Formats: sequence, structure tokens, C-alpha cells
Amino acid sequence: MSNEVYALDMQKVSKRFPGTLAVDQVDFRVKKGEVHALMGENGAGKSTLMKMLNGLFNDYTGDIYINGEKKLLHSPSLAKEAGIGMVYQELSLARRISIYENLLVGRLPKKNALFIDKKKAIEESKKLLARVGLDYIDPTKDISEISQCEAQLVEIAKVLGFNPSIIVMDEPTSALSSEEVNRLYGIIRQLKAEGLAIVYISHHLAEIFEIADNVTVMRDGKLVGSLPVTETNPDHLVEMMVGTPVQNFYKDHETKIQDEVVLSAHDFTRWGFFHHVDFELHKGEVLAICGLAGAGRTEIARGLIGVDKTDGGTVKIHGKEVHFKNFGEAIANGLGYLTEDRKVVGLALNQTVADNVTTCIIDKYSKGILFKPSSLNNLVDEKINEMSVYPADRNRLVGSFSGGNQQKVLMAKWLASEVDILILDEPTRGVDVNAKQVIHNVVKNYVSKGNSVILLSSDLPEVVGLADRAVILREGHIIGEIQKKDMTENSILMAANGEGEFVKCQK
Amino acid sequence: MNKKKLNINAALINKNRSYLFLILILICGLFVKNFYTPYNIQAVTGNGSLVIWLGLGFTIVLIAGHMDMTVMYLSTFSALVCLGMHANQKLPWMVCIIIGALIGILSGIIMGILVTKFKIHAFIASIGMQLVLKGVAYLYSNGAEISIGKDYTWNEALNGKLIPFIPLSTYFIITTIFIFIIMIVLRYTRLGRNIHMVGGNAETAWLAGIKSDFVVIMAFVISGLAAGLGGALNGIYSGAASVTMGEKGISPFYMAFTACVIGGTDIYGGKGSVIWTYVSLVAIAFLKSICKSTELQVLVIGAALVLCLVYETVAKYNRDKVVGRRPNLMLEYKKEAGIEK
Amino acid sequence: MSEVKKNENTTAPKVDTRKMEINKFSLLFNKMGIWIIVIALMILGMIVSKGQFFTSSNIQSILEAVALTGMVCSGLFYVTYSGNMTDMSVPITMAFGGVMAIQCINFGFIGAILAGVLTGVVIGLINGFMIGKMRANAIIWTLALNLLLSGVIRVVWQGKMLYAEKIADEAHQNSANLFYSISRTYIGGIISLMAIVMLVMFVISWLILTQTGFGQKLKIIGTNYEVARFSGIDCTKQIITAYVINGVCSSIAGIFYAALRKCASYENGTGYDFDALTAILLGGVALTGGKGSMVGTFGGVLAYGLLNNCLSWIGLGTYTKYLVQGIVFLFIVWMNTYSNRKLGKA
Repeated sequence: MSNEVYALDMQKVSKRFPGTLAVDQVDFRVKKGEVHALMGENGAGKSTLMKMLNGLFNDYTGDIYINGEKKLLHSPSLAKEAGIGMVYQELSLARRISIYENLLVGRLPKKNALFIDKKKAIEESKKLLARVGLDYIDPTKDISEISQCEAQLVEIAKVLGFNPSIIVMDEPTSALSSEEVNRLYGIIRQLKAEGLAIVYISHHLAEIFEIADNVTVMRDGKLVGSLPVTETNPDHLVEMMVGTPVQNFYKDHETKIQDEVVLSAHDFTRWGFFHHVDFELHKGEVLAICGLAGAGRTEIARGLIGVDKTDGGTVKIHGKEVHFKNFGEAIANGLGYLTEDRKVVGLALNQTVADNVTTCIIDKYSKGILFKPSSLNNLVDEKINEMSVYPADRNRLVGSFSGGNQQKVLMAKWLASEVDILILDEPTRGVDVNAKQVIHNVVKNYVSKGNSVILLSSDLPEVVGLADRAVILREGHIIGEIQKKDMTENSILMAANGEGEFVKCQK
Repeated sequence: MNKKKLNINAALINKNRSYLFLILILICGLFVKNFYTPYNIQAVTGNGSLVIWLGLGFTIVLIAGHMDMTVMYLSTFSALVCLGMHANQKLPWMVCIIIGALIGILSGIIMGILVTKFKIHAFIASIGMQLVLKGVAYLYSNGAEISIGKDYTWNEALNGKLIPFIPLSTYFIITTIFIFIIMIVLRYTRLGRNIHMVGGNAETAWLAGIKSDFVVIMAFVISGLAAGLGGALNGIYSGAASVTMGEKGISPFYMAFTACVIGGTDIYGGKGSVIWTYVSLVAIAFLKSICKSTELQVLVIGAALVLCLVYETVAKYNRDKVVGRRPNLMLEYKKEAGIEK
Repeated sequence: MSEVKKNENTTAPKVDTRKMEINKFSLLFNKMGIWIIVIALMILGMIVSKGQFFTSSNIQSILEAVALTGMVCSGLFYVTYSGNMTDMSVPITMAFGGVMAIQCINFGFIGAILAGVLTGVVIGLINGFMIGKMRANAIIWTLALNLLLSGVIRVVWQGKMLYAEKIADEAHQNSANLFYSISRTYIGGIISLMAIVMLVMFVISWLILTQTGFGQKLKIIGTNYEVARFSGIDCTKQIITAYVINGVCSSIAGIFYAALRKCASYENGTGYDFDALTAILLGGVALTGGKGSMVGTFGGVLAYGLLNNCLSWIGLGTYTKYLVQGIVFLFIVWMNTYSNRKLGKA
């Protein structure tokens, strides 16, 4: 077995960032014609390992063999020559440039020594698009003219264009609907049959068991183990990732919902984003708004807090009709919004914990125009202890924390703001299990004090565990409602796809 | 329905606003005495050529997603060296022009390295580089004017007509040819497309294996080459050069910048055309001939620049509001609002 | 392939093992750099001037030379701090401030000063509206405004120089004289009034930055605009305020400059955008925003003045000075970018 030539063989590779050893002496092997899943919590080092493979670092240590040959992968172009293709998590396409130029970026066909051959380029891109089932798209359009799902498939087509022998997919399903996920699986199986090695990174256990042959688990930059999928089960994998046996933290949730309606939206509309949305939030309730990616959850939240201008309908908070012009007014009326993407819109990474936690209460604690940051130190300490942020140092830069602790800081920021209605948008995306547990406990504690929460999450176990009631959003319309007793992952998913008994009206 | 038609026209007007600007200026010219004389046209286009070279470089760097303020002093320095080499070292004109071009290329390489390797914001780097070039130019010329000397052969050749009966100076025709070469490079060669790609999304380009550092450096080199060559030719064309050349009246940098914005080059990179800039700069050259007072020129050009920027900003502001709208929901909206018949 | 590789650390508790390993040099440069440079320049000055450096006349000339740059910096700081890099309309704000002050000299001395400052407020409001509200590209917009306002001044005043004593009528000749004297007053016969005004402006700016909610909000806006917006901070209002403060400071500098030159024209203020930006970056303010201090900026202003003074003592001409200033500027910007990048990674 040891004589077999691997498509990819990484031996004792390490990569150090200032302040952390992101990948520590990892061995990683992938055979030809295999789908190899790479798993681990956020910050476990899998993305770093794959970036290393794609030539983004020129200072890693250890050896990398591709098809038995030792290669130095010190730049993306070297990695490309070695036959490595990477499908990125974030879309890496130039939006105002045409599809065919994006597809053939870096290798546009030439007519002669000087000029490019546009005709040939378009033909070639049509072929590539056909391979991912996008043969209906005109490659001369700009990327900005096609949908996000199509763009994700174009991204895969782009990688296929390099004729790679190894393809790395980093969370390729995050922007896709279930229909498109199936399309993607078809493409992956086809590539596998062609003898390509595929490294598949995902957080979703179901996907791993659906598509992968072997799975490797990483934790804290180290290799935990590598084994065939048939020899494992979800609980075992989670245990390997977490290091401790899985606990069921959803069992003891009791509801204390009061009849008082704290927030209600009626006929709430922003043309092109969500239409005629109606819902009510009771005191002490966790209301989940469920739907597939792109159903308009985040847009509703942005409309509620006054960041985006809405076109119609009424929103009442504590029975009083409100029209917020900006988010500041919403916070003053007790409505907070924990944003989806902590790195882009959630936290100022280059500032300290104290600065971040106090951002939304500057006005509240100002005396006239005067504001003393140090006067809030006690409050900050109290909140970061409540969230058990580690290390509990309010003067540390937020960027130097791990993902889970960053999310805790974000949560601490909203606890400090003392709002009584909080919209949580993906509160535990990409955080480790411990942080997840802490955040869930804090949410439960928060509602037990008579506050209310609107939960927007695509993590179904989380919704089932936390929510008291779920409204189902599909393509900008609310199409149904599920009570606590009927709530299962299955029923929510069915309803979100527009099927099942809980769908009341189908547009 | 009617509204939709209007929108298309507005987009069309916006896209071709450089041509409209030129036509507007030419119409205004009808009311000016001695405007449509062969002599005037030849002089105006010839005198406006230097700015075309600068605008060309500025546009390329802007397409690549950066900004280059060095062009003005670079062209001045190149003109000084070109004339100085001929006057002091008695080198033939051709060699002097090549030296001027080489200076431009060198400066372009330095700028490119500052931006790509040292990761300094291009605009800020060019502010510093501009001062360095100004200092070097002063040191070379000792602050004095350098004149062409006694050899007027090339000066006359550049000032004269290349084609009989067409009132365009040789200098302007060389400029135009160069513009078209660069246009072809940008539109139809791999380097040109890569410049667009890097400007559109630098990370994508880098990840795709495009040597984006090289592409950016090349953009600066072409910009430097244009400024250096244009400066040297302009020195010969006008017969003298001094450091304060660009500081009198309206700065050539501002004209190049305005022309880029009027021409519709995207200030965030990735989109633009040297032809649009060229047309706008010809228009600005004629504008200068229409209003003779520098004061009015500055005001009109400034107003045109601010107008275009305000338009672009407001358009972007409105566009950002509706970005992400879902098409099937918009159809529904149209049905409800009764817009669709 | 069936063997499961067990790592021995499988059961180890999950702790954050990340350490702070910041490049020592960058940290030092970020915190202390500017005062080290100031001291180094003083020592250099002592050597090149052969002991003449700390005479009262030399100190006086250094302070006078940096006073105007310092005034601009105390306001421009907020623009850089709010993540908008720099304001290219500083020169025209200075020119317009001076022109308006002299034009309004017939309203008396106080009226003239108020008119000048009001001009700065208006320019600040225009900039703030376009950049804070409409999200225009800060550099490009301020460059364009610089050109437009320069055109306005040139057309309205026909490109002429303005002299206060010519504009003032008989009754207001005193005001004109008073106006000219503000740049030539020495408190206690030693320290120039300009230097005092600069110091006062720095103290006020420092108070605004450290003691008000505005300063704290601007810090978050400068670090990440979107984060600030999604924390309920009214970004538009804060950025407009930053530009208004900048406009006021620039116009005050412009008034003093007009008084110093004894005339006002569209050219007043040329080059101050560059000088002020150099001083600010020298003071360790991050070009990307959100980081920097008023004390550091003041150090940057001093260092810039000391550097120019040293160059004079060495005997460099104006032309060589341009060269040296350009190279120093590029070096400083590189250091600024480099150290922030290193810090950002950690």
C-alpha cells in the first residue's frame, strides 16, 4: 500500500503566522479518483492547509508531492502548473468583467504573438460552462448580470478550465440551493470518475456522508485522524473534531412566552426583496425566520432596523408604530441586530475588545458630548466574563482572538447595549462547539429575563433547539408557520423548500 | 414604456459623453472669431498634445486600479533632459527622445515597485514621487529654462503638417497614432486584458496565476513611457522647457484627470477607454482656445469635472440601493403596481 | 488506509494557544517612533548647526515654520483618522479662507476672521455631504473640489492678489493693520502668536478626540465603516463633523497665511496638503484610518519642522530640499504601511 502513488501527498507540512502555528506537522494524502473530505472546526487549520496547497504561502515547511513528484508551491501560478485547482469559499470573480474573461483568466487564447482570439475564447468558455450545466448562459455577459448560484458554478467551471488533477472545494455549497447542490454532486461524481482527486471541505456532516470516500479531521492545526467514511459515523466525527463527546445542549429548553406582543410587522414590504411580510414577536419568545439562502431573511432584518429604506407596511414596537431612519434610532427603541458576517460588518478587528463592546452605547453613556471610554471598563469586563471570552483581556485586539471568541465579543457587544429585542443573524456560523454552547446558553438566559429574540439561522439543529416558533420564508414571502411541538429539522427544511403540511399559501 | 425608452437614451448619452462634450465645444466654436481657421486648429491640437500623452498614462493606471500623479513632473523632467542632452552633449534628437522615454520607463518601474512590492497606496506614493521628480528636475536645470538651441529641424518637422491640406501638426498625428496603438494593446492583447482584470478584481487575477504585480508595473511603465515620450516631444515641439511649465495656469494633471472622469473611466478600476480620454482631451484643448482667460478655463473644467463626479456618485448611490433585487419579485411588484401592461 | 492515526493531544482541553508575537520593531515604531525621531533630529540639528540649534531665534523660527502646518494637521487628522486618507482641498480651503477674510475686512477684524472660518465650515459641509452621505471617493472628490473652487476664486477675483489695506475703507484701516499683525505678534517677545494658536488648536483637538463620543465613534468608523453603521453609529453625521473641523482648521491656517504674506490669492496654501499629510503620517496615524493619536501627530509636525530646519543648517538649497522631502515622505509612508501590515497580521 505504501508503494501506491498518491495524487497528493503532503508530508509534515507546517505554517506559522505571527502569533500562531496554524498548521503543525500535518500529513495529508489523497488518492486519484477519490473525494476526500477535510473536516475540523473553524481555526483548525484546514483553510490554511489548502491555501498552502494553492501556493498562497512561500514560507511553509515540509514536503508536498503531486503524483509522486516533489513540488514547491510558492505561488498560485506554480500551484496551477502542478495541477491544483481551488474553488474558493468567497466568490473570486471580477464582477464588471465578462464571463468568458473570468473563465479564461490568465490564459486567454492568442491568435498570434500579440493578439487574443476572442472567438476561440468564447467557444472554449461555452464548453466549460456546459460541463457545469450552464450551457444556456451567454459568456459575453458580465458576472454582475448572473445570479449568485450561477456565479458559484462559473467559479467551478473556471477551475476545471485549468485541467487540474486535484480540485479543492472550500464550502462549495454555502451559496447554493438544494437543487444546485444536487447538480454539484453530479459534477463531482463525474470528475471523480474521470480520475481527479477532490478535496472537499465542509461543515455539513450530511454532505460528507453523501459524497466523500475518505475523511481527514484536523484540530488546532494538528492532524487528528484519517479514515474511510464507511468506518465512521457522525457522532464519531464530531468527537474527533471537538475532542470531547457530543453533548445534547438542546434538551432543557422551557418556554416562558407571555402574551404581550413586543414587535409586529404588518404588510412589511421592500420591493424586490420581500413582499407583504406579516409576523408578531411575543415577549420572552425566540422566533425563528427560516428559509433557504437568498429567501430574504437578512433583508427583512435590515429593513426592520432602518438601515435599508422600506417601501410599505407598518412595524410596531411595544404597540407604537415606528419608522427608523437609521440604526441608531432602532437601538434607542430597544431593537438590536447581531450581524451575519463578523469580520466584515460585525467587529472592528484592529481595535480592542473594549472599543468593540462599547460601540453601540457611546451615545447612551455620553454626558452631553463628553464620553469617557474608561468609565465603561467595569461594564465591559462584566459582559466579557458573562460570555466567557478567553482570554478575558479587554485591551487585546479583537483580530487576535479565535473565531469563536470573536463571536462571543460580538454577542457581548449586544448584551452591553441592553436592548430588549435582539435579531440574531447566524449567531454561531463558523464557531467551535464550545463557543456555540456558550452563545446558546446566553440566548436562553436573555429571553428568560423577558427579552425577545428573532433568530435567523441556517443551522437547523440550532433552530430546532432554540426557537419557540418558526415562520417560513420563501422567495420573499412568508408561506407558513411551525409551532414548537411540530418543529423538526425535517419539517423546517421541507417547508423552506415550499413543500409539506405547514405551507399555508404558495405564491 | 415611454420611461424605459428614456432610460436607454440616458445610458447611451452617458456612455458617449466624451463625444457629446467635443461636439458641444465645437458648436460653441462657431460663435468664436477665427476659431475654424486651419492655423488655429493646427495650433490647438498641437498644443493640446502633451496633455493627451499624460491623460493616456493616467487612464491606463486608473484602469489598473491605481492613480498616478507623477505624470506632470515626469514629462517636464523628460523634456528638460531631452533638450539638455541635445544642447550640452550634442546628441542627435532621436537619442535624446529615447533618453526621455527611458526616464519615463524608469520612473514607471519605480512607481510600480513602490505600489506592488512596498504596498504603498498608489496615490500617496505618487505624491512623494512627484516631489522627488520635481527636485531632480530643478537640480538638472538649476531652475532655469532650457531652450532648443540653434537646431530647429525637428522643431519645424513636429510643428509642420505631415499630410498636405490637413491642418494637423506632425506632433498631434504621432500622438494620435500612439493612442491607437495603446488602444489596441489594451483591447486585444493579453497584457491589456490582464490590466482590466487586475483593475476589476486584483485578488482573482492573482489567484488565477496572473502575475498581477507585473501587470501593475507594466501599467505604470506604459504610463511613464507615455509621459516621458510626450514630454520629450513636447520639449522639441515648443522649443523650450522649464520646471514651472506645468505650474502656470491650469495644471496638465488636472486636465488629464478631468478627461478621464468625463470620458467615463471607472475611478475604481477595471473599466475605461483611452479613446474616450483622447476625445475629451481634444475637446478640452478646443475649450482652451474658446475661452482665452485662464480663470474661466479653470472654472469651466472644474465645473465639468465636479458635474461628472456628482452624476457618477449619485448614480452609484442609487444603484447601491437596489443591488440584490430578485428578478422574480420585481416581476411581481410590476404586476401589483400595474406597471406592466 | 484503514488505520486511524490518533494524535496524542486528542483529549487535551481546548485552549487558545495563540501568542502575541508582534514584530518588536513595528510595535516600537508605532508607539514611540515619532519621539525617537524628534530626539534624533534634535541631536542631528545640534551637530550640523555647531551648537546654534537651541538658541531662541532658531527655536522661534522652527515654531513659526511649523505653525501653519500644525494648524492644518490638527484638523486634517480627523479626515485621515476617519478612513478617508487625506483631503486634497486643503490648499483651496486655506486660500478661500484668506481671501474671504480680507474681502470682509470692512466688517471689522472679528468679522473678517469669522468670514474666513465660515468659509472653511461651508467647504467642510460640502465635502462631508458628498463623502459622508453620498459615499464619493474621498481623494477624487476633494481633488475635483480643489479645482472647482480654484476656478471660482480666479473668476470672481480675476486672478488678482487681494490686499487688505486696499479693500479696507478709511474707517477700517486699523482692522487691516490688526489683521496683518496677527502673524507678527510675539507673546513675551519670544513665542509667536501663530505657535500659540497652533498649540491651542492641538489641545482642543486632543480634547475632542479623547474626551468626546465623537472621537470614539470616529475611531470605529475609521477602522471599519460597515461595522460602525451596523452598531448604530450615525456615520454620515460623524464624517460631516470631521470634515467641518478640518475645514475650520484649514481656514484658520489660511487666515494666518494671508496675514503673513500680507495678501490673499488662489495660490495661498499650495503644498500644504503634502506637508500636512507628511507630518500626520510621520506622527504614526494609519493611512487606512482608525489608528493614531493627537500627541503623535504633534510629534510628527515637530519632526517635520526639525527636519526642514536641519536641512537648512546643512545648507541644502530649495531644489535639493524637494528631493529629500520626497524621499523622506516615501520612506515614512512605507514604514507606516509596513508596520501596520505587520501589526494587522498578528
